[in-house]
Amino acid sequence: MADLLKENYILGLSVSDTEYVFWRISRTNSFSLIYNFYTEQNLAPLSAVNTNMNGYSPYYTQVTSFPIPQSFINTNVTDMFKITNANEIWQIFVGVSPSYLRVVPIQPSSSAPIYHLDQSINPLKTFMEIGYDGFMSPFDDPSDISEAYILSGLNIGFVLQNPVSIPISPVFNFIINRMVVEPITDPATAKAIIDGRIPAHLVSVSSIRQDIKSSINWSNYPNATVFNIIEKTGKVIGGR
Amino acid sequence: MAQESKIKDYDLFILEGALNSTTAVNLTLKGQSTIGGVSGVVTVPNDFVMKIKNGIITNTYTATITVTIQAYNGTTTVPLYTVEVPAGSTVNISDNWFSMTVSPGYYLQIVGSASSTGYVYLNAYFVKGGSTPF
Repeated sequence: MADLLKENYILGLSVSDTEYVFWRISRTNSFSLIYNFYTEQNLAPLSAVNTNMNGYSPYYTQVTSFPIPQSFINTNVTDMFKITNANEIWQIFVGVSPSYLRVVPIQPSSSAPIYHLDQSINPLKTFMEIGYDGFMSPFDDPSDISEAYILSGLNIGFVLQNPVSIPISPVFNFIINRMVVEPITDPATAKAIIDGRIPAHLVSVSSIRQDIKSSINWSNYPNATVFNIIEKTGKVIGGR
Repeated sequence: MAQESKIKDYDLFILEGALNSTTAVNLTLKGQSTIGGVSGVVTVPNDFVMKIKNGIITNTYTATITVTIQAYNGTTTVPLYTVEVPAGSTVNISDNWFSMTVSPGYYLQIVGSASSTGYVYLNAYFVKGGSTPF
């Protein structure tokens, strides 16, 4: 089951191999939201893979591309996918339906492959071990593998792949934990977190484990402090 | 099996076919989730097996018929289940006692006894796994 962060927990966001930004969570508000691509986006069913498994029908989307329908804008309906406050971070989990739908998290705003680590991974068309499916993160019990974080101005990208021989209509069950956060600016506290003396939940922004510091403008987040972790000495250097 | 316990209604799709005497008839896709209007033979993809959850077999002929559900891969026929259906009646195949597994590369067919007319609906779903049931 998804492990929701609560008030007074500490969240450490890794932005590169040696850098962290720490936040103390002051308030949370969690809810689930079922998102049906067919009804919300008029997304045509993902076509069946052909029988000799020669190709997927990948569909790419981003979390901020999940808006409420146009007809509801300016009505009294809350757009749950819109983060406007710089002191808010969302922890999200995704339950996948139908179970055989495959979800591959990728770098937002890019349809290029997947998990930008040392090398881009271009999966074999029949190779389905990238990302997660509804067996790994069930619709009504999203699992930790789908965990991701969003800050205002950032985004999460997904590729949806249909590995089976019938067209399928994707439905997501989001568990969204909206968190109001306060940045931690004290280097001694940061050091204590890294040393393990203060428990914290250490994660990366988005669902992509990679160096993303260049794509984040920290001046958008008041008082957010990037700490440089020097591994050899255990030293923590504060400041941007 | 843990995966099967996770199977929900939204994983199910409907296979349908009309009986045509002793001719083997392919079961085709009726719809999945909220989608309608799509039809085609459902071949079990690699890395999956297909399970049949439940279904109905209706006999519209004037005498008792025998209906066989079988898997076919273009070469090999594997009979899975045979049932007698009285004239004008429907056999309900409930999930309590009905469980069939279809291997990758196979799709489902129905075959009746002589002069059979009627139709078959089956609820099926995919389960991840490379097992070889037959």
